[in-house]
Amino acid sequence: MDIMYILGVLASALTYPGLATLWIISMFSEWWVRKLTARAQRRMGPTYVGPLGVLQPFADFIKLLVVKSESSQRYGNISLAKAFAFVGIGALVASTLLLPISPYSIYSRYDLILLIYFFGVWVAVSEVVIAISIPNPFTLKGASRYASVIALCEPAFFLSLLIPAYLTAKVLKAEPTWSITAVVSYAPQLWLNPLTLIPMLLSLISILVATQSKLMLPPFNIPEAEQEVIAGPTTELSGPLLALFNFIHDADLAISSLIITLAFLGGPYPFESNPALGALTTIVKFLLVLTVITVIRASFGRFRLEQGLKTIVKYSITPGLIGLAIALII
Amino acid sequence: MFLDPLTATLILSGVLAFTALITWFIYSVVKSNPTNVSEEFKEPYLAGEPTSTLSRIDAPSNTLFWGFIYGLSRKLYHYLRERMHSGILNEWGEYMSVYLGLLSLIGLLFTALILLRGG
Amino acid sequence: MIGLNSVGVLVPSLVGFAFILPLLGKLIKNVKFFHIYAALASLWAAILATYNAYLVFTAGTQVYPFGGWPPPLGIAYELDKLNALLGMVTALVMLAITIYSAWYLKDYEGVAYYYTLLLGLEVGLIGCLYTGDAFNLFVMLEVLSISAYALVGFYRSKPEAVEAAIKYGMFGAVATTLYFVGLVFIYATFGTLNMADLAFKLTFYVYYPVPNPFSGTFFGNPYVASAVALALALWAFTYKSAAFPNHFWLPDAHPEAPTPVSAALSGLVVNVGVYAIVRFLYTIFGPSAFVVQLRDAVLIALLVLGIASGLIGALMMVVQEDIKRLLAYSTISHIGLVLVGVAIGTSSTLNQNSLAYVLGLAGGIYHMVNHTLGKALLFLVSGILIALAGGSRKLDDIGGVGRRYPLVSLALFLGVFQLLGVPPFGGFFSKLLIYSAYMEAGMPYVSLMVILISAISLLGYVKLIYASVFKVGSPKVEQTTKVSLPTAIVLALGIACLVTGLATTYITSMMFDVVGSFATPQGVYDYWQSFFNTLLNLASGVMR
Repeated sequence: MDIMYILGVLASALTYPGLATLWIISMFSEWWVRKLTARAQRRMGPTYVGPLGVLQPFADFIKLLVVKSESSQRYGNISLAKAFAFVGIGALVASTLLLPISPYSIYSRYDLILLIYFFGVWVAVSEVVIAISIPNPFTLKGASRYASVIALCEPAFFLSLLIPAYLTAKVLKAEPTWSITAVVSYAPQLWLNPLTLIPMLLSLISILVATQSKLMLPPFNIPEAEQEVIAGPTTELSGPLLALFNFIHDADLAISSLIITLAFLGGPYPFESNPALGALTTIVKFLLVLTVITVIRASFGRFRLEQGLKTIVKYSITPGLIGLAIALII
Repeated sequence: MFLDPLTATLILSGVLAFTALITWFIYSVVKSNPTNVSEEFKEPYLAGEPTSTLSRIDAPSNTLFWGFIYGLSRKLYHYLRERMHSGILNEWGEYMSVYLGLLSLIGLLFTALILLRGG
Repeated sequence: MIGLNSVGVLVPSLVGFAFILPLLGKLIKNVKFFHIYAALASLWAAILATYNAYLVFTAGTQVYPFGGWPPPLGIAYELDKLNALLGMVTALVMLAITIYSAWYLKDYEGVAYYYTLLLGLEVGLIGCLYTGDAFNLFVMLEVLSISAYALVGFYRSKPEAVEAAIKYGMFGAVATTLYFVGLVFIYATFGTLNMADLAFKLTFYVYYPVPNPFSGTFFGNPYVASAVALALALWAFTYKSAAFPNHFWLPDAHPEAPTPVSAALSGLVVNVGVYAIVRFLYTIFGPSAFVVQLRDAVLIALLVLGIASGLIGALMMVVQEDIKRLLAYSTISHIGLVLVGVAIGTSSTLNQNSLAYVLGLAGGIYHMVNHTLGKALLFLVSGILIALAGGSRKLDDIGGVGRRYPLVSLALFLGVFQLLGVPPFGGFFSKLLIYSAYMEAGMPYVSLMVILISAISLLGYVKLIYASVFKVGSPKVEQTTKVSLPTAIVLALGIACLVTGLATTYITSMMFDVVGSFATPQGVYDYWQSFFNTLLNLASGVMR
């Protein structure tokens, strides 16, 4: 491993698929979700900035960051909150490097676990710490609800990725084992095999529910239930800090959708050989996943916390476990 | 690039730190004027209510995961706290001797296996 | 030929240091003397233990027969890479704890007795780790336990402390006695209590049926004896390591002890139980011993117990209101994870997938070290926070006092990250090894349980961070309390946590080395070979 490689990795962390790309994708994802939700609810959604308002999230972000001033609360620890915001962004960028979408992507055996820890644990820890570092009854309530949801949906997320990884490793004997890269290249084969179809279907359901809850999207927007807890974790955030938090949340949404696109829908399949067509296919699938998430979001009301937690157990962990059991038997 | 998982983790952690630093740098360049603490933001935001309506700003730490403890797993926690960790010595002894019994059972089954095989 | 040897001299010299103390306590009234004395004694132990580890890693297994007696007759210390490494970690962490004690007990009069017990605890710890003799392990376990019981009840005017010590002591006495009964069976059947000799008889005797001139051959049915001995020994060891369901004493005992002692109990004493389990199941009743089915069944039971401890520890962490009790439950959870790691070595795993076998064991041992560092750190931090908040252990009373002491909070974060296992901290890499071992072995559901345990314990750690750093309480901060010494110690431990992660490529290959030295047939053979060479040397010396 030479210095040029390290420099290449760092450069790609800042450009593609890192920071810059992530920013664009996540702002775009936010627009897509907002627009579709609005349409589903017979509203207009963003229209003002850019064609169809596509630049609205960018404008919001820049406004919060550049125009609004940083404000600090009596009990708050703004610098700690910011530090964890940067760590969260760093963790999200690191997890994009694990996805096989760039020449500098990193893959190894068991990188599934690396993905869970960078994308799941680090980001969740950052969000919780950001929230509790500016104490307020509502923030605390939101953060503790968020942490409760995370305690269940993190294992569910892992479980649902475990199934395709197990199938690629043990049924298809693909190398490297337990790697997202292998899962992405072999996912289509898993769908085409009638034996592995059922566990794949169950794990897809599982990951959709897990993603929905991980992202605090309705019906799992319990942490930010407005009637009771104002804006939940973000109650005390304002200005640039709120911009950072929103960015983390949107990037979380974008990467989750990207993971589902790649690991379950096979990414560029069936055009792996043609880069342009492959990229286009991936984008179409990505938008499809975002749309599904949005449709779920728009068609449910909010759960109470214990309903939400029970739903994760019932509709994410249970199908995942059944899928895993079937996968183990095959 | 194919790496071993340990090196991959270290590189990704490096990426995490590097990106965090760069983001911090960009942030401090582009963010607006230095922190101005206006009076209205000094108190925690309570949907317009004054903070004096609350006896305390924070939540007692035992209420933090109320939903998780009492919403999701009330029965489990009841069992764990009231029955299992009751603090009564002979109830501990019960669990512990059940475990000793399990180990003895393993030993007994093994012995039976060996004797049946004519060892 | 065998003169004064760093392996042999460590434990006896520490015993000397410890037992002189009560006398010195009568003669010298200056409290500072005892702080310095204990720190120097600990430093001495740390230097020797580090040197011993260096010796083992460069020159191979070290055997020291006490009094020049040939091993199965006399007591021998036998250091392979496993116990040399653990001994080094133990001595170094004990050094930190001893120095911290100087701050913690600065206003306390009877420090001579405290240090007698603390050094006694260290004697027990290192003795348990170093010994190559199963009966000496019993003796050292008693030394360790008696010091621990006394230290738990150190604040003898507090009813809770005395109650916890009595509870701990009562069942502890049962546990060590059961182990003793197991040893009776072993000695009656195998005619020896030396671990290497036992390993030879259980593993290689089938191939080389040469009776040992000092310990003869079998008497009675070795299968029955092994079954009884293993069942009893394992019960005792899981008691020491506080695995479910033998964990009940821990959440009572650890919080009641003085904080430095809690750190030692939670970080180090539980390791001894795991070490003894590993030594029994991998070296003595090793993977190629003739009691394969028994061993497999016991390992599966251990795996289940490990998962249960992990889950129960994590779930109970979430509902604690006492900072030290929360940390105590976290210990149970982590010991569960360590047991999950070391329970991988069933014969089928070894035969079909030796990679998983090595990964799991290496992960278990690595996690033991990581947990020691992280937990000692968090207990020491909790001691600082409690002192600053005016002596209450309640999470609510601590009330975010950490926000005024950023360095202490930094150390707290480092410790939490270590135990939570986020990259690049050491705790992540040991968990990674455990995950990958069970994925390799075709048991991904175990990995799933490990991640569930980690996710639930996240709630507990959030609670800890919230209460100690962010809470808006109004604790009675004693501005007079000086915390620079303990802050330096916890920061050093925090850096150690980070280093165990950043140097992971070296440490992991070292862990593979360690596993090779105690858990593979070759390793067991080498363990026996060093013992046998010592025996031959001594015997030829006697002949001449």
